[in-house]
Amino acid sequence: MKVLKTIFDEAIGLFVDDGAYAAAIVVWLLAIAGLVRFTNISPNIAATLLFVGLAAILAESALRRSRK
Amino acid sequence: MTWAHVAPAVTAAFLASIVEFVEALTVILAVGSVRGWRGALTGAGAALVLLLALVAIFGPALALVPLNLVQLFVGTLLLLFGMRWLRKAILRAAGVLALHDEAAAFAKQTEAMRAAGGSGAGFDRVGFAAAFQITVLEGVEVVFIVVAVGAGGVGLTAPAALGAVAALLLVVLLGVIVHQPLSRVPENQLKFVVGVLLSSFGAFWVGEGMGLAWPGDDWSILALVLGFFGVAMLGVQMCGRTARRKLAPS
Repeated sequence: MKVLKTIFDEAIGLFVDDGAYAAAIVVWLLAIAGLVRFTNISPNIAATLLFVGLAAILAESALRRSRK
Repeated sequence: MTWAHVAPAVTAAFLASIVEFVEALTVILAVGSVRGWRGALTGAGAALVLLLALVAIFGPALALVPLNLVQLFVGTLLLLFGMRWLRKAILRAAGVLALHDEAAAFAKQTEAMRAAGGSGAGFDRVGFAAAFQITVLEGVEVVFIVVAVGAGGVGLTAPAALGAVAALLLVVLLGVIVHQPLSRVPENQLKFVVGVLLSSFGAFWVGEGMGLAWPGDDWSILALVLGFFGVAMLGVQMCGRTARRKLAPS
């Protein structure tokens, strides 16, 4: 059981370091998916928005960590 | 399959694998020098066989799933993985987090191996387990990168695997020649570049999986690489300034 927990923790640790940061990325992906699904947004604009949001999340999270 | 896909795939797999294999080599060298090479090399070898099996199983298995679903799922994981590396590399470059030090890791591991007691005359289980564990832990990240990068497009697994194998051979060769931790390898800079590449790949594939239209089609991967690189460099400047302000006497 302990070995399984270690493997699970290691696997999660590959993708999640800061929980809020990982959650923000996933939420942004869901938001863009929702925009594409439920509005008439241009796929080009949605793609640009996807990058802009991810870039903002990256910059904000790094800056927040540097303030701690 | 275009060069816009292949070149970043091979580069990302090669550079990421160098970082991971250098970290594994440090521990294997510590195990080998303290407890003997038989346990260390068998442990590392057994782990490599396991890792190859994982690539052989998961690589072709993902090809059976519809491409847009794979791009969405693997792209999300790649994005989380790449942006985690990139954030850490920004914080290290800005001086907020300490740089990874292979010499210190070697000293710590050597001490741990000595503390584990003598290996005796028989097969050294402790040395085998330590070498096996580090090779699996670091290698799983390489397997993920190869499988994920390879799953994003038809025919990309082979170039990605080639990049990883080239990195493995290079690190093994350097390890045999130098016979000490490769502390001069600029790990943080490599992680920075790999973080940029994997974040770009992840964003591109998630977008493709959602049915978005990237301006410039496949060539937008290069625009994403430049975009993430620019934001990361800006992040280093901003975080560095914030950290210095925090340390300055008020």
